[in-house]
Amino acid sequence: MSEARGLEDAVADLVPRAQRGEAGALDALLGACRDTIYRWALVQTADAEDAEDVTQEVLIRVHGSLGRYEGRSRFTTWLYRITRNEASNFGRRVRSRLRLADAATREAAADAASSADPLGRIHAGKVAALARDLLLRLPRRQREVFHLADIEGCTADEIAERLGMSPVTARVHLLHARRALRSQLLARLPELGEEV
Amino acid sequence: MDCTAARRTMLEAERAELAGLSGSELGRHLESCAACRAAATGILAAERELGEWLAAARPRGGAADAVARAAAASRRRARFRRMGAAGSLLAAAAAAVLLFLPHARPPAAPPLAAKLPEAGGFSVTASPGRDVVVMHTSNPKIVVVWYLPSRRTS
Repeated sequence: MSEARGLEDAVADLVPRAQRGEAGALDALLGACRDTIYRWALVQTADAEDAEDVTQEVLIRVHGSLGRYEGRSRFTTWLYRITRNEASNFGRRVRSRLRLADAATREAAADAASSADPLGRIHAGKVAALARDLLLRLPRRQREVFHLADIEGCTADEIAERLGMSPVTARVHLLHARRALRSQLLARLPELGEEV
Repeated sequence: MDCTAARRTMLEAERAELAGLSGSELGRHLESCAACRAAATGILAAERELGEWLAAARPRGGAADAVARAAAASRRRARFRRMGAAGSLLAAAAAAVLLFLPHARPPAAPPLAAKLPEAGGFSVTASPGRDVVVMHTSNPKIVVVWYLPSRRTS
């Protein structure tokens, strides 16, 4: 189940209760959404600190505008759009894409010693750090589609609805993203293609 | 399918194909080619790592604190919005007072009923509801004709 679908189920009863002003429901709803919003914002902004700021801004927006959510789209679609808008607004103000890539590399180096090695001969930390770096360097639209399709497991229609594009366009972005990511992985980690 | 074509196809393939779960041409090649199978496995592993990394990504600090801060900020903004709306209403009301309430209008231009003669006396006719005052100045060529609202009651 994709993260969005899991969240949709988790908050299905909270949304109407929060809209009715039931005590504690709105706080519970925001708390339940926070991690997902952060991950979406992380993909959107490609920066951990920016994602924190965007997440907080989205929580404020949802707190102030939940009454205007009319249920015409799924709650997670509505929430995703707010996150996307806030990330766009934030991106206009701040650009620091490389910070996360550096942080990811440092983090990978730090925990490399203690991690298991799921790739056999290849160090997992190295692969993970490179994959993160490559993902975060993709153009934003490709990053979004790749995340929704290949990580969250959304269907083409779901992606199209969330991003406001046709399923065909979403598919084109996905293929571009895969090609960019995988070709770089294979080029920069030639050992990936060696026989075990 | 040879290895070159397989590597090319791999770049856009679905994950099920990379895992050899489909009966596609790529899948059949991966069954028979250990090197390409290793590449496909490596791609899958890297993408799985990405998913795990994202799934584990969390904002700093506790949710309760973040929610409380968001609620406070939201209420503050709502208050500012209400104040802004009240200010706009007041400004609109003030503008309406200035525009629409009756107030002293500047005296209208007098009707051109006065005919100043070249020389000597002249006659002035006031329009209905108005009086007129004629003031001669030291300059015989300048005569002030003042129309004003009539004070007479009919």
